[in-house]
Amino acid sequence: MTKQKNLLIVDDNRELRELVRLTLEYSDYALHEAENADEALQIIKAISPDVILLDIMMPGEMDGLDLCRLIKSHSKMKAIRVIMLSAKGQQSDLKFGGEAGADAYFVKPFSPMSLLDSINGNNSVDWAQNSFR
Amino acid sequence: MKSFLARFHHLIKVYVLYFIGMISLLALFSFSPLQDYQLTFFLLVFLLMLGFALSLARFYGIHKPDNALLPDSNISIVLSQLVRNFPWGIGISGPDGNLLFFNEDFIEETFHNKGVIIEQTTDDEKPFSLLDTSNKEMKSFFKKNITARKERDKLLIHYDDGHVIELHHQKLTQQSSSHHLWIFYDLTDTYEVNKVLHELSGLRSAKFELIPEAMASFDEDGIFLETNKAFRELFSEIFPWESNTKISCYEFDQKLEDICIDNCQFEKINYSAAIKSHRQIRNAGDIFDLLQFKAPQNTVIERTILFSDTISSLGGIISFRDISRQYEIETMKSQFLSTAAHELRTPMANIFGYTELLINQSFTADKQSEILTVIYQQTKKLVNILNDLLDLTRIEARANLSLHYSSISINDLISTTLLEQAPTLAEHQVEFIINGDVALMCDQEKLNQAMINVLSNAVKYSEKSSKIKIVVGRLVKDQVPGVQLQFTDFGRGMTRSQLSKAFEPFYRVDDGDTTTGTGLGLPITKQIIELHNGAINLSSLPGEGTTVTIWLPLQPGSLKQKKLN
Repeated sequence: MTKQKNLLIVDDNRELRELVRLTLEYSDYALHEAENADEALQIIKAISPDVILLDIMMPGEMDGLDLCRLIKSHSKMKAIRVIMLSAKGQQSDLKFGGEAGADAYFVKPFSPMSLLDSINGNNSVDWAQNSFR
Repeated sequence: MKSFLARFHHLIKVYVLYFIGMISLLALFSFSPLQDYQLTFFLLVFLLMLGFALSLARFYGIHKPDNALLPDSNISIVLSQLVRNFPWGIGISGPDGNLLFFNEDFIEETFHNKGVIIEQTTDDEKPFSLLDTSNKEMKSFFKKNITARKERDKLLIHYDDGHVIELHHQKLTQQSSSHHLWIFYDLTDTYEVNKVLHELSGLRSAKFELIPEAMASFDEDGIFLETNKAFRELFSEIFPWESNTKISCYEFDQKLEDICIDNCQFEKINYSAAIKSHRQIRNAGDIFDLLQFKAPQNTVIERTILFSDTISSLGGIISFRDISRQYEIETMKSQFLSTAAHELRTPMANIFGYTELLINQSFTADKQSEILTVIYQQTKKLVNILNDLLDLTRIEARANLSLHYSSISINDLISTTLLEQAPTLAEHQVEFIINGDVALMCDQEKLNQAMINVLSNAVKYSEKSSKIKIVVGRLVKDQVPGVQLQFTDFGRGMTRSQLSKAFEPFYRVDDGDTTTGTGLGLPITKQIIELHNGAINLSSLPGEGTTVTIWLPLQPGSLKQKKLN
């Protein structure tokens, strides 16, 4: 079965990227992986994904929030659905995520099933209500 | 009554004298050449009648006596009552020097020796000798006790037993033959109270002056009343406190705000961001206005103004306290907690996520085993982080005393650690050079832990089969004998920015391998070395390797002693 849509996971944690890959196994999404923001930008330019899962604290100059702002301020990229996937779970962190233009925010640890719902466009779980904070 | 009898007696004496006088005159006239008996008789009768009338007039007080105050019976009764009930010692002496009226307190003050006089003060500059009195008792009192007398109205006498007496003296008329009024006030109690009050106020002033917080009080109009040393020093550049010009605290506050705004512009931060917190607390008429703000030179200051209704003479008190350290600790603590929480969330995300997938999706047996391995590893990592976290906080909370010191040769210490870590070091070539063995006083278990952390970093960040070099030698530092340990690896090394963060909790040089290490190893090592009064330094070049240099005093207590000396 060929996957119709593209999803990019940007996270420096290998196990977590693997977890997302397993989660998406039976979905409509083909998975692309990046370890940092620079790698992510190259992949975005190449494949223009439908959804991006974005960690905040990553090695490199640019963090997840910077990348999110960049995507949302770019006319060609701003349609991409950006879901923050971060261990930063304070109210202020969620606010920063919203201000950066993120469409959803999941706090680690999160439920892969809820994440799948969110990826599929179900907004009911978007703002960390279902996360274990 | 006594006085009446005395005067009656006096009257009788006068008459007896008159009769003797009359008989003498009669005898004189009997032998006189005048021989006019009738005229002589009338002259005698006239003189007799005149003397009788004068005596009667004197007896009933019609005749004005020499002394205006010589009392008649009614005044005498009133006066004696008044004197008796007078609350202090009082005496009235006549011009002849005899005491006419006095009470018990007067006698006590005059004749009871209260001790040696240690101080006498008078209000009046004009010298006046109390010895002018002709009263014998008073004279003896003054001669006996009082050495300096220069007052007219008031004399203050301090006795060595603590008694304080104020003596008031007044001549009742300007005439030399005037009566004298003497009043003794016992001011001992008043003086005690005043002394205590004075001491208290002195104590309060001294406390206020020496309090480490910068404090000042101001009146209802905002004019500074009192400033303490810390306050004047802190704001010496803003206001010249030495001059006696009146400075308003509102003017002061404005100037202070200007300085803070200037500083914010200099540091390119928003002024409102410089205000860390601002709140008011009301408590029974008092208002506390608390403001925490960022001041120049990276300090955080807490400014408190107390507007008081309860201290009526005061507008309020303003104080400043440097809370930079407190603020720094709080910031560090919350940063540490948030980083720790973040570090714990990452392995938890994996454990939680994989478990949920296992429950909800079907996988092949191989895949299941793979997933379970990940869960197992992540759980192990979680436990490692927790252990290291506990270690770090335990060590941070630990005082010097709780280290278990014992003496061990540095060779034995390192050899033991190397032997224990043989499996970890198996794939590296370890070179151990020791330039003279020496006995070291240390907590062996803790130092062992520190060295394991350093060695495991060396292994982690260098290629297999590369060399790890350990060089040990004696080194005197700041006149304190000690030993230096150098652990050098020839691995990838660190950049300058990586080096600067190496001692921060949870910092890890990114290597893509996230399963090993918690980022707490070096911070824990640093804590252990510092507890031994030692020092740890890192030097590194990217691509060439890293050297960890540890210096330890042979006697951990010696540094402290040196500082004390």
